[in-house]
Amino acid sequence: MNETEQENCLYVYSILNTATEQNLGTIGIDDNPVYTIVYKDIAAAVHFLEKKPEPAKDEQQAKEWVFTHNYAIDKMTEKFGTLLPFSFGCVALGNDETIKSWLQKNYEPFKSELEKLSGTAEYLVQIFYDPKILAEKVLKDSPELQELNTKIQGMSKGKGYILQKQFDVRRDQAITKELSKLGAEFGRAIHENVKETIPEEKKSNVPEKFKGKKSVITLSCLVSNENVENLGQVLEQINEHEGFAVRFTGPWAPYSFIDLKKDFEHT
Amino acid sequence: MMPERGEDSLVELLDRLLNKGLVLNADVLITVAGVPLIGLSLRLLAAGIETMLEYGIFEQFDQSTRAWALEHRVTSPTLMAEEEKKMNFFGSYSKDQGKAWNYGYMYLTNRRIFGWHKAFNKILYEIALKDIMEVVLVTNVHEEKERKELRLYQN
Repeated sequence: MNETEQENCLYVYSILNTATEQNLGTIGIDDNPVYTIVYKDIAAAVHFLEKKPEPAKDEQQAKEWVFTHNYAIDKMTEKFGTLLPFSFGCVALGNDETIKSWLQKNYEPFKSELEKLSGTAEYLVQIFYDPKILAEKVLKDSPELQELNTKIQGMSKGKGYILQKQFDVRRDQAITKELSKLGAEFGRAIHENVKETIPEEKKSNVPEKFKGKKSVITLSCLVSNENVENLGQVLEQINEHEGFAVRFTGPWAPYSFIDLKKDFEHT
Repeated sequence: MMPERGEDSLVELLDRLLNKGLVLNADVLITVAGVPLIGLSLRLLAAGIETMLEYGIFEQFDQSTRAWALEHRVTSPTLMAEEEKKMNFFGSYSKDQGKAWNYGYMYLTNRRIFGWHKAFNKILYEIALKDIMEVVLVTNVHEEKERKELRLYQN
């Protein structure tokens, strides 16, 4: 291998179902042509780079790259069905042969993962509640809280202080109880329509539209294409629940549901 | 309701593209170029962190970066064989007779005096003890304040 060959790299977009080597057009980052490298009936979609990529010169360019990566994934999904999407920025050193032997080596896990994910896509479901509305609701439903509230109204601020604290604690407990009851209910309805869910652990994004509301749960959902409409209906019902709001985003390629770690550890 | 992929789902998109998805395994991989290719601000956005102050940058979101930093962080300069540290302190030094002062950790060992930059693990200056011809303690005025300066003359 000479110097120039050593520099050659392939930017990898996805692993997908096809047995045909083909050019997918200039859908790649910086208008690079994307093509498939085939092993048996699976392929890696890549674009060729003469040398290691340079970092983005600014955030605008970085964003364009990320969007283009995702656009390419979308285009490929349209054409080949559900695929295994790669993280942004995966670059392999070598040529088509390198990739081919890598596909060969990992054929089994790739193939079974493609089968598992076939006909599905990833969606994100976020459920929010409005703390004010829920506080009103639990007060309306609880004679005990109402009684406490009436007592406090008739007292001076100083005297009512302890009772007010008591009221706050009990009201918050009632809210928590209500949330977990409804949460379980919502959860069951959602689970009936999805294959797999992963709760998001980190603080989730709350868009402007939902400001002032609190997040009940955020779930990444793997959904069969034929179940998307049903799931939409279930979420519509949750959305119509007083004090609740739902955000339903997707479809995404199944980024969150690829589980190949155990197969990779020994390669 | 129908799923949407609107303007407001940039964070979800970034989270998926940068934090999830497949990566190449080690034998083929040269780089998961996410960090160097696109810079920190997008990574922070993808991590759901709105400002850098919200968490210490490395506290929460990038365990691997943190582990790397811990593993590679240097806490003291490399000394020569049989070299022993006698004292060290943080201070300023000047190589051009007080025209420009720079900061660093000053080390005195049984072999030399040197300045060390912790973040870059870089020796800023060094003088072997045997090369010091004269040591003078002088009182000087720096930024309108009196202070002591140690002057080392070497041959």
